[in-house]
Order: sequence, then C-alpha cells, then structure tokens
Amino acid sequence: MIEFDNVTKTYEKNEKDALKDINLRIESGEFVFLVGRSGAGKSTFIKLLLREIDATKGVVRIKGHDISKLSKSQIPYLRRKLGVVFQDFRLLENKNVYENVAYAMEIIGRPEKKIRKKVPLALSMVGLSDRMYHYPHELSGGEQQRVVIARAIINNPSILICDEPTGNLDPETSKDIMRILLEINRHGTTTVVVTHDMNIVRLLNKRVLTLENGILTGDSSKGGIANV
Amino acid sequence: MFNLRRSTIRDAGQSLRRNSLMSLASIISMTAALVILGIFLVITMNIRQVTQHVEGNLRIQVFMTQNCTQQQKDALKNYLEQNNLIKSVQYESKTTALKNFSKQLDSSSSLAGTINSKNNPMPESYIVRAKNANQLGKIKSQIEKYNQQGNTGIEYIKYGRDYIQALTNFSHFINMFCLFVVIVLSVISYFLIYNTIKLTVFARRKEIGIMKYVGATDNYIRAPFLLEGAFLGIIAALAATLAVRTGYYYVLGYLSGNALLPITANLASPSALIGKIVIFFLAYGILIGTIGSHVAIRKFLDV
Ligand SMILES: Nc1ncnc2c1ncn2[C@@H]1O[C@H](COP(=O)(O)OP(=O)(O)OP(=O)(O)O)[C@@H](O)[C@H]1O
Ligand SMILES: [Mg+2]
Repeated sequence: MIEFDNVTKTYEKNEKDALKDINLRIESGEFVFLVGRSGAGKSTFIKLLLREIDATKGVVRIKGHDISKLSKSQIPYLRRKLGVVFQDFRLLENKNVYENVAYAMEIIGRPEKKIRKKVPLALSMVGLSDRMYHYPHELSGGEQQRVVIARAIINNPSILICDEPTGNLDPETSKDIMRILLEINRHGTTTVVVTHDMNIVRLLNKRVLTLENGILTGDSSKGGIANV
Repeated sequence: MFNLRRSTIRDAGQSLRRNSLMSLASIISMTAALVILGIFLVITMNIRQVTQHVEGNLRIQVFMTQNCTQQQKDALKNYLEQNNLIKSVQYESKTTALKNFSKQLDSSSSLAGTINSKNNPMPESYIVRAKNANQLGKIKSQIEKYNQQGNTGIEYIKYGRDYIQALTNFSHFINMFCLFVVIVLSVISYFLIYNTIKLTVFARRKEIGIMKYVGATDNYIRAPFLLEGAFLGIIAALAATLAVRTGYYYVLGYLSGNALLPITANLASPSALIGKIVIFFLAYGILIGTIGSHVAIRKFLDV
C-alpha cells in the first residue's frame, strides 16, 4: 500500500537530511506506529505521503503509483484516498460537529442526500451521535479529536494517517482514541499512527517503525522496538 | 471553471458579511474609480459623437473647369471610384450648385434675379468623402498627383484641412488622457479588491488548509473567493452606473435649459450611453474583481 524506496528529504535551508535513505513497505490493512524523538522526521514522513513536499531522492509509492509523477491538479485526488488526523484538531470553529464532517463530503462534490445519510453513521462510529449540533468549543479535547477522525474517514480513504492524534489528550482519552483507530483499521483501512506515547505502543503490540535523526533504525516486524 | 454549488455561494456570502467593513470600503473605492472613469467615458463618447457628425460632413470637393469634356469627367470619376480610401463620390451638376448657392442667398438679393440656367457661372464638381477622415489629406495629394498628368479638366481642389486636423488632434488627446486615467484607476481598484480578498483569504486560511487535506481541488477552493471578488465588482459597477446616469441627466437638463447652448441635440442620448456604460462597467468590475481575488488566493493554495 505504501512503499518508500531510498527516500531522502533535505529541506532547502538545512544541511542535515530530515529523512535519509528510508526503505519500507506497509501492506494493505496494516496498523503501524511511527515513533521517534522530536525532530526525527516523523512529520516529514507524513508530508511526503500527502505530497505536501517532494522527496529530494528516491521514490514514494502509494498503491504502486509513484506519487511524484502526479501533476499538481491530480494531488487533490491522491488526498481523497488519504484520511488525515492532526494533533491540533483543525476543526472549523464556526461549524458544528455535523457540518464539520459533512464539509469533507461537500468539498469533493458528494450529493446532499448521501451526506445526510453518511455523516450520522461516521459520528456514531466515533461515539458522538449525541453531539451532532455542538460547536467545537463546546466539546472536550477527546471529543474534538473524534470529530476529526470522523471527518478523516468519511470519504472512505484507503489509508488513515494520524500525526500525534493523542498528543494533547490524557491517557484514558488517548486509549479511547486508539480504540477507535483500531476499530477503523479492523474494517480494512491501512493506518499509520505517529506517536510519542510509548505506553500505548507497548500496550497494543502492533508493528513499530522507529526514526532517529532521519534514519529508520527500527522495524518491529523485522525484530524489536528500538528504545526511544 | 466556477463550481457553483450552494456551499460556494454560502461561503462567499458568509465571508462578505464577516468582512463587511472592508468589503464596503473596496466597493466605495471602486465605485469612485468607476464614476471618474464614467465621466471620462461620457465625455469621450460625446466627443466621438460630435466628431463623427463633423467627420461625416468632411469632404474634398473637386471643381471642374467651365469647358471640361465628358471624357475628362468620366476619367476623373473612374479614378476616384477606384481609390479604396474613398467612401463615396457624388457628382454635383451646375444646376444643383446654383440651387444650393441661391438657397444661401437672400431671395430679395439682386444677384439671385440676374442669374439663371443660361448664364450659370457655377462649376460642376465631384464631392469626395473618405472612409476615414484622417485620410482626407492623403486623398487630396493623390488627386493632386492625378491632376499633374495634365488635361484632367480640374480647376480646383477644395479641402478644409486645418479644421479637421485640430479636431482629430483634440479627440486624440482626449483618448490618450482617458486611457491614462483608466489605467491608473484600474490599478487602484485592482489593489483594493486584491487586499480585501487577501484579508478574507487570510481569515479563512485554516479552512483552506483543511480543504486541501481533505482533497478539495484548487478550483473548488478558489470559487467562493472569485465569486466574492466578482460580487464586489458588480455592486461597484451598478452603483457607479446609477451615479453616472443621474449625473448625466442632471447635466443634460441644465444644458438644454440653457438656450445659449444649442449643442444638446448632438449629444449622445442618455439611454444609449448608459446602456453601453453599464455593460462596460460590469465587465470591468467582474474582471478586476476576479483577477484581484485570483492573485490574492494564489499564494495560499500552495499547501
Ligand atoms: N519546512 C521546513 N523547513 C526546514 N526544515 C524543516 C521543515 N520542516 C521540518 N524541518 C526540519 O526537519 C527535521 C524533521 O522535522 P519533522 O517535523 O519531520 O520532525 P518530527 O519528527 O515530526 O518532530 P516532532 O515530534 O517534534 O513533531 C527537523 O530538524 C526540522 O527542523
Ligand atoms: Mg511532527
């Protein structure tokens, strides 16, 4: 589903590579943690997947397609296959929960009828059926993050990408969020979760990729988690 | 290119309300720019109308000698009709010339009585009108060249040149001045719209980021902003049209009430003029509005 072939990313202003010679494969339906210290290159990895930035060297493939070959006007269609969840929730403050989720369908031109049917389903999946008409400022952090997850999956992405989805949440709430992500993964969505939270990583016993200074130093599918 | 769904219109509307003060400022400025533009347009259109009227009467008259032959006349007529700078060639006989001349004289004048068809002293002539008044001078020198062959039967070539030159120079000057004013005002309006839209884009940059992550196309993201810019342009265009219309009626009323100025008959009719102006203003407002928005949002689309 995701392939990195000798991928190096060097930001223009920096001498050091943010990512260096990364080689990895993530299969369809996998659940993968990506861990590493601050500045290790985790967000850079995600930005490459979203083609927010281009690799300096190497090839990034999604579903077998080299995404650097996509023209600028094709990028939106790539992103429709990828659901994204960020640490800062990035909800629209002037829209209620329902509208925030419906928005993601409106944007890609889904018909109103479909939207009315699907949004409540997604919201019930993340356990927010009773918060549909609340505004973001009327929700707790965990609830806001669940809205973001509902928005990320509303268009049935093949891959769900989360950059520190629990970074701002307490341990209990983090576990709730993880449960939701696992549930989504169980339905077949390939899931990549960037996190600092080693407790959760240990608890879940999933594949763990470790980045250190831009180098992939550990892959639990090939033996052991590196210490972070 | 416009992806006009309900949410697009709703977003444009919301944003206009949110930035109502800035929107109002840019509408007012653009209206002011268009009103000034309108004043110059009205003046230019009227000058063009008057010059066209005068130009329509501009002509070269080629007078024949008293004893010219039919052959000479045919040859000249042929020559003139082959010249493609010339719009029309009209023959004026001795009788017509005399009639026209008598009309200008007082009927009680003693001269009128003494002249009749027998001793008609008026010459025959050809009246030449140009397709373009600027080329009358050229046509004249061509006819003069023709006359140099000799034996053409031409007595005299009459052409009121200085008068024409002054008029065309003046309308040229007005046109250039107008062009200059239009350019300056367009630049001002463009920057006003640009800044208004940039503010609304900035206020919604978070939303734009989300749209990009969810996979909205650039055109989809752009549409409400372009719509907003176009809308500002349209409002300004309509307001300016109303102002120019009211002003023009007022001025016309003043001029026609003033008996010393019998020029109103030759001025452009208000309805025709306003019809032209409203279309021009709308096109202008929409163009400046959408281009301004387009440039304002471009930077924010690079995510
Ligand atoms: N736009 C940029 N321009 C220049 N350098 C950048 C840019 N973005 C990131 N970097 C650098 O690249 C390196 C990797 O950054 P990245 O954001 O991928 O780290 P991270 O692992 O996500 O860290 P964190 O856990 O703090 O989010 C850092 O050294 C950072 O300073
Ligand atoms: Mg990061």
